[in-house]
Formats: sequence, structure tokens, C-alpha cells
Amino acid sequence: MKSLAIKLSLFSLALAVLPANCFAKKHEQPPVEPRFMAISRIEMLPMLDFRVDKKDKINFKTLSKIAADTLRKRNYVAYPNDNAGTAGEIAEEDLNDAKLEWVKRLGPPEARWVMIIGLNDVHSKMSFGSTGNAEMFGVLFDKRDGSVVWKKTALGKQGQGGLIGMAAKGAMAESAAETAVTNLLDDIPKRPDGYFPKSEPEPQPQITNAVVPVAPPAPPPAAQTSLVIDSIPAGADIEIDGAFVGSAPSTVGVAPGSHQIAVKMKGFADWTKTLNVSGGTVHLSAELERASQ
Amino acid sequence: MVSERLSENSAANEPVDGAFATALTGVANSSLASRRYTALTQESLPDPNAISLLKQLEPLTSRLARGAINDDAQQILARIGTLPGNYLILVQFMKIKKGSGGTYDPWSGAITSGMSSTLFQAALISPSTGRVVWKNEVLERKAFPVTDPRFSKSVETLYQTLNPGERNR
Repeated sequence: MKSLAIKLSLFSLALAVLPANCFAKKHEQPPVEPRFMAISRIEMLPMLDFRVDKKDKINFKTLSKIAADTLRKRNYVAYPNDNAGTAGEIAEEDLNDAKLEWVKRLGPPEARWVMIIGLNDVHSKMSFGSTGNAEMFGVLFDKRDGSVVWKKTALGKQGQGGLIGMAAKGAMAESAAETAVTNLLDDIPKRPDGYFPKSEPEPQPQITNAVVPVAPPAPPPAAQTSLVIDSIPAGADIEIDGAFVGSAPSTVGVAPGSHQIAVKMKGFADWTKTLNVSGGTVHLSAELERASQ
Repeated sequence: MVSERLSENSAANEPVDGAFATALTGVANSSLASRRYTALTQESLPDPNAISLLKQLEPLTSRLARGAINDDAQQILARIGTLPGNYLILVQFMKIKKGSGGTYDPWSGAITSGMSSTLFQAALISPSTGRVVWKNEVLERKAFPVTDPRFSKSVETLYQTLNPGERNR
């Protein structure tokens, strides 16, 4: 009798467990969209600072590293890149309605996927503790067609009450910004471990029974030089080889060779230099002199 | 005037936008008048070309109000500069962010503060030179109702640094 009771109770337990096993759905990740699967390498351009209130000190290098690490954990090849390209000074508005021509000038010429992350606001406050709030935004462009692969704005909040919080006031803004950058990238889909996209074959022309001249293989693209140009007073127009590229301070990428740099501002004498560059980063500070009346 | 919202339904807030625009323009007009400037609306300008060109500047409001004149703006300003009359262009921009309020978790002691803020920016631009002759900005860590006296006070603060002498620059 006892054994029957045990069998019955085991049977009822099995019945109770069975439906759960039968009908429980396996937790599966949704498939990653092709636009994310196609990405071979993300160049992360220098982080932008769009803050009006710049009281709180923020370490942008740390934020860039957090962003790159977050993307790597999601199985993307992502590196911070100091070469912002030749798009000139980037304004928040440029990112909302970016034109193909402008997108193509972002970052190194050979890069296809470029990510721009900006800090809109950071604010820390002390009351009966301390708090920090931050707002960041990010855009990932595909330079081939100028499309926006991903775009997001995210908030980060930190805070602690009491004496501990008050003592941590100096770290709250930075901590909030770090939370914001992590939140910002949390909807970039995680790709399968070990995944790397196959390179796309270049379109080949259809040729039958024809003799075609064969060009020697093209040399690898030469390393760009980053020109970091500053002016005193700030805001002067920068021209490279006669073309306006932005306002100082700006970082501009140029090809190796000789370039004519001009920094101009109304009321001041033009500042010009001829530079012969072969790679790396060159810092230029143009101290403008008032034009004689 | 451009107002930006993170999450609210903008269609439902159109009357509020109108109230903000009226209040902002009202305080700006009185601040300008006390500094011996005469503020004209676009519609009151005698030259239809000027009205049309100013309309083209409107999408660039947020840049211009912080004194950032890009190539597009420079071209439009150059055309305005050739029109008769010696005008300066006043650009105002206001951005209101309404975020969640502060929180307190008694178990962990974690606190957060509100995310709301209001940004006022204005710039006075000379179309004949294409230069910004004056600009200023005020950031308040609150989103004031339009009827709040602190709203008017903030706009007055925005114009505090504007001197009558700027017109000659």
C-alpha cells in the first residue's frame, strides 16, 4: 500500500513536471539583424563634448575605453580612432540629418563603419548625499551609403545618500557618465561568439574572350596624418590646400605629402604654413595677430 | 523657437509651445527695448526677400543661437547682408527637457536627482559681416511652467550681458 502511495505520488509529480517541460519554450536570442552581422570593424571617433555646463571634469578616454570594451564583449571589432576625418567640427545637428557626402568624410578614408558618441550633459548635485546625472548619444554610420545603422540617446543616474554619498560627490558625475555610455550601447545586438563577417567579394565585370590589360596591384592606402589645429583666439576658419575644412580647434585627417594650411579670422592677419607630413599626429597652434588698420 | 522633448507627445503640447514662444518673445522684446533696440518680427519687414531668406535660416536656429555659423548659414547671411537696411538678426533657442524626478531607496540609501532642465540661448548676428556680435546662454536645472516667474527671470538673465554698443560692432 505504502509503495503504491509512493508510486502515485511520483506519478502525480511527473504529471506536474511534464507539462512544464513539454510546453516551456527554450529561451532563444532573436537573430541579429544583417546590418549588424555585416560589420567587420567599427572605428570609434573621438568622443564629442556637447555640454553647455562643463563644470564637472570627465575623462573621455575612460568613456571611450568603456564603449570599445562593451562592443568587444558583443563580439564586434571596435577601436577608438583619433582621426576624426575631414568633416570638420561636428555639431549635434549634423548627426540628426547627415548627408552622404558629409558621412563619407568621417574618420579614416578606408573605414566603413564609424561610431560617434557624444556627451550631451553631465551634472552632479549634493543634498543629503550626492547624485550624478548624464545624457549621452551615439550614432553608427555606414559610410558606404551614408545610412544610420544604429542611433540612440541614453541616460545614466548615480547617487548615494548620507555621509558616504557626500564624500563621493566628486565621483558621481563621472560614474553617471560611465553608466550612460553602458546604457547607450546595451541595445547593440550581441553577435555569436567567434563570429567575424566574411569579406564581401568585389563586383567583377563580365568579360568573355577578351584580352584586357592588367593593372599592377594598387599600393596599400598610405597612413593618414591627423592635424590637430588650434587657434588663439579660438573659432578661426581652417583652410587646407585652399578648401575650408572647419573651425579651430579641429582635428583634420590629411594624406601624406605637402599641404598648405591657412588659419583665418576677420580682423586678424592670416596664419599660413606649408607642411610636409608622412603620418602620425601633428599639433598646430595658430596665434593670430590683429590686422594692422 | 524650438523645443525638444525626450518622451512626450509633441502634438498634445502645441498650445504649450505657443505659450512659451509668446512668453519668450515678450521678455526678449522688453529686454531689447530697454537697451534701445527695436525688435521687428519677420512678418513686419518691408522686403519679401528678407522674409524669405530669414525663413531659410530657421532650420539652423539651434546652431546660430549658440554662435555656430556653418557654410549654409554664411551663404544665407551674405544674401541678407546685401539687402537694403542695416539690421541685426536675433536668434533665440530654448530647449526644455522634462525627465523623471528624484528617487530615494531607503534600503540601500541610493538617491537620484531629477533630470529636467531648460536651456536658453540667444545670439545677435550681423548679416553684413557674417559675424556673431553677441551671444549668451542660461541653463536652469529645472523645467519651469511658462507661468512661473523664474521663467521670465531666466530670459532676463539671458539678455543681461547685451549692451547697446553691440549694434556698432
